[in-house]
Amino acid sequence: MKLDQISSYCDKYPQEASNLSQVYLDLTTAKSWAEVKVKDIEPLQRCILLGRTSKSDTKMIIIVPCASNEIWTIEKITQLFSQLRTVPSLLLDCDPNNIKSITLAIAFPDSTVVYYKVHDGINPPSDN
Amino acid sequence: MRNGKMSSQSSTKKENKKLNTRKTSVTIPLPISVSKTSFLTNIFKTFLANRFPFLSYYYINNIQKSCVKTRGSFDAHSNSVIVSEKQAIQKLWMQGSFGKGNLSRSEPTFEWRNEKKEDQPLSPEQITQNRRIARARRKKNKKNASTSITNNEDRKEIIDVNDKGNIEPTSLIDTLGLPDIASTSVSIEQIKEIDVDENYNDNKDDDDNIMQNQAISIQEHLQLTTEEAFFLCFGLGCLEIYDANDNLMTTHDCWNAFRTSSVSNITLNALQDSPLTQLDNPFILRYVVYHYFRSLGWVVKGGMKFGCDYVLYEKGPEYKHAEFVYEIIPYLVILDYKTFL
Repeated sequence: MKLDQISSYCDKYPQEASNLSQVYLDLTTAKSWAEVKVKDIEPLQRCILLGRTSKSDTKMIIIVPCASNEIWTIEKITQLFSQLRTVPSLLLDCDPNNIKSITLAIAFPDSTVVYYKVHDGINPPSDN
Repeated sequence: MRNGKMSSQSSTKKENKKLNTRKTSVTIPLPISVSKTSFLTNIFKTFLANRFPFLSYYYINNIQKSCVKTRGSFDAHSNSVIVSEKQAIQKLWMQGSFGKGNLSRSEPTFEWRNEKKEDQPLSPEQITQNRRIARARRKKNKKNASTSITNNEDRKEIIDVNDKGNIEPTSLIDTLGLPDIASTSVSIEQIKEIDVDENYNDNKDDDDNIMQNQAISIQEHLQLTTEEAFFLCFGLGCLEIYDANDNLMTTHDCWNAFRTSSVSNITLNALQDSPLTQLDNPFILRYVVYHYFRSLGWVVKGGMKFGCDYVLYEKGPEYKHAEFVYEIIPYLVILDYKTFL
């Protein structure tokens, strides 16, 4: 089963287990992303996912699974960015100092997952 | 003028026809069944219930046994009740739009989306993916075309045209010393298109295999929120909820368990009362609103995707967009007001 890859991380952080598994399943099966890797970030006490939508994409997107009743203050978000930057670059597939944005994956009890892209600082809107 | 009148009449007729078909499509609004008995047996049963209550208990028990109860298992970690059996999933979704397929956007269609029918080359999911890729490609081309129009005048002098009349991509890169992102020549665009197409074909083949393998091993289940499950169990009596050890939970057990799991561990330490004694427990607040609107006939769904607490549909999400969006604001009465004076 697909969930074998993340079962060890679910045992390590039991509180984050359901969020992690819901987001992982959503990305791999419902959204059928080409590549999804799980990374354990000890300073944050949670796991993050690194993913790529399709094989032709160059950049890996950082996904942070969290619960719907978590409150994300500006302090918490800046702390998240600063702690991600302290992670050694071998663990993440990109330069940790260069992290400009992360995606919060908020999981709800009925298995809805809502993705919010969070930039560090003020960014102009992209030309979409 | 005459034709105008005729067409308006026919359009109103069409509208009436449309309304009729929409009404008939909602057949069973809730997953409960009413037993069909004749008029005489109904009279006999009501007579029994009034005159001989103990005898009628036997009859009522039989009726309840004929209602098949669906089975759900409560998962405290994800704060939800999971229904795995296929028929039960169909029943709960078709009769009242309860729950959400865990591998779909709302209706549990994972298997239908990913199965490849014999007479068609692609599954519905692949058709959607190809459409999205094509749309993204068109957007990119539009973007490149608009930037190339502005740069064309500057580059006309630099471009070398060879004997055939085609512009060689390598020479353009050499002379300009730029990466060929914003390219102006037609042949470069054509080459890029072909490369891009090859990538898409590769993705399709790989995705084929991945999808088929996944479809075999992954079963989609229906995930109900605790308030939906409690309404089905307590309000309608058509759902049986089992805990992690496969024991049947009584309505009272569910009431306690749902209130406890609705409070996350972080806030548990900060609370003054335990979740079982607090009056403004999140589960109670959510359930009261859910039960109220369901009793009025609305289909109530979670509002996470819309930035609110609940979203109300007249018949269901598959018929019309939601009529109302609800945000629960608890009205708290401060009993000990003297401390604030």
